[in-house]
Amino acid sequence: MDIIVCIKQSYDVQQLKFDPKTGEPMLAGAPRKMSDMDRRALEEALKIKENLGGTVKTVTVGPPESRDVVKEIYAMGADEAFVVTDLKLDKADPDLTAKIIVETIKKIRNFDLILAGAASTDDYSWQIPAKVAALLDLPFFPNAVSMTVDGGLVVESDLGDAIYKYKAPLPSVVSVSLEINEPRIPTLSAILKASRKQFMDFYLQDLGLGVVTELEVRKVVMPKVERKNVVVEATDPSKMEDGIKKILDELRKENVI
Amino acid sequence: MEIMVYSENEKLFKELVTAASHLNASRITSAVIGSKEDAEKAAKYTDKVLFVDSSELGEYKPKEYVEALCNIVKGSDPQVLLVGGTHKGNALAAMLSVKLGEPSVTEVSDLKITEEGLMVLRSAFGGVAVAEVRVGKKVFTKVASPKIACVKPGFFAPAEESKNGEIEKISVDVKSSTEVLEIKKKETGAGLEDADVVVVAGRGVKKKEDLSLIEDLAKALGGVVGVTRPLSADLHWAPTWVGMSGIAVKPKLYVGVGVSGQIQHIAGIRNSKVIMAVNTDPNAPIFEHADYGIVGDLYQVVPKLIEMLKS
Repeated sequence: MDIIVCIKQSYDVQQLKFDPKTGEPMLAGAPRKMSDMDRRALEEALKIKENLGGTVKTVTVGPPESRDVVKEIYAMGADEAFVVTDLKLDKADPDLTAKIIVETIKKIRNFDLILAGAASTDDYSWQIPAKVAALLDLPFFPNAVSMTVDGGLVVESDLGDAIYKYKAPLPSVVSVSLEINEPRIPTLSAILKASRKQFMDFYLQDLGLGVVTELEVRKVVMPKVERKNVVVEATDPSKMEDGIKKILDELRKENVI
Repeated sequence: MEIMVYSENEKLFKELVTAASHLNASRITSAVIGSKEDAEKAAKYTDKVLFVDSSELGEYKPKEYVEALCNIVKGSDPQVLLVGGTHKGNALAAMLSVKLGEPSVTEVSDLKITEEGLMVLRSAFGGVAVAEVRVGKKVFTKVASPKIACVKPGFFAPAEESKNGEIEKISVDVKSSTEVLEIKKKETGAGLEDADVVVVAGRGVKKKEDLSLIEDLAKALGGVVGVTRPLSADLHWAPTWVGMSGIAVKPKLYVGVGVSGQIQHIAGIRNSKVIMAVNTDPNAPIFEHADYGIVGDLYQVVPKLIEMLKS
């Protein structure tokens, strides 16, 4: 089974800082990491390869910093990483990203299955795998919580109201959820070996594509909701009852208890 | 301007109708892939219903349903298509957008139409921030296919019945190579998303057994219990968490117990009406985001709180 996995080097939103004055994210030099659900897509692909043989190739699209993810991709056990970068790709919208992924997949040519995280850790558009499937005219199965491939592809998709179990044709595109597996942690020696491995390094212009987007992000801010900030002291047991009473009275006034 | 709405979820469908009327739609049409009864229900809310009988399609399969939705859209002339932002809806919107060559945007909480076209607010960085996004560089023209926006649940009030729209059946001829083997319905009990009172346990709770104390507090307040990310992702005390990439809640009352209040958690509770927090650390960031705060040891404060709520 030859599998292609789409992997984004996302902003690490857990570590993202915001300008206290403007509320805008401080993105310059902000730490990045392999997107959480993409990591699980890679793990799933590696497990399939271990059972059935075949290859695992990865596609990463983004700004130049995206190249940093390759070391980890190899350390986990992928066979070959393809990376397409451009300085302006931080502004890419889902349509452009999907288009670039598909052009890269066409370079790889042979595949039986395409896997990706259901959404990226920073943008959460939930759209890329679906658009990749549509561009390739392949069936798409979103948000898989489990999948098997021996004896045909069977995918269990968590679609919110129910888990849908599909018997799917190959090739197909499957996006995976956080629950699908617990990804492996690469060994130190695997990491050291991985850093010496070559990868397919493309510039966007090599694919004959430019940065043309239909979605234009005008402004990003962390919204500030005004709160009352009434705080009582209850560390001293003698004051605790009075403090709690005051808060409960306020909550009753607010009509929430 | 015609605006079309589609959601397989009835409540979200009604919310989309409200969102469409806020956009000053001169005409609201609905796309229905379902039963005749579903189409008749939708007709009570919109000027026209374009309807594909799902018995001809079978259960939900993204590729096949997109074909149907595409036929429906082409059967009318909408300039904006609002889709309910569920897993099912997001997948259909993203694929349809490719088929129509028009942009799609997800995680939308508000929309407006300006001289520049469709502008939306969508959550960014997993809900930590909000982005203002212009959808489509081209200004609206009559002949264009619709711009597509997936609207998150719970941001518009559900519309009331007010119409008696005409129903038009759209035919589809879809061949499928996918088989639905089984559909396991999920429990839809008192979920965190819909609860009026949510009590969240944070790192300040020392042992898993101590969650029973938090449950007692939730019971006394008539609410449900959630946990923060570390308690779920690291300690596995609960299958999911409240906050970024977990569940976003918007109760009348949120109570954070031993929750420090990282922005990733605040992202999931921001839309709560009243926020209350109990924490030993007076400098915990949660107090900046709280209406009411109690500085104290949760193991002393919570039992007292329960006792006083009961009396």
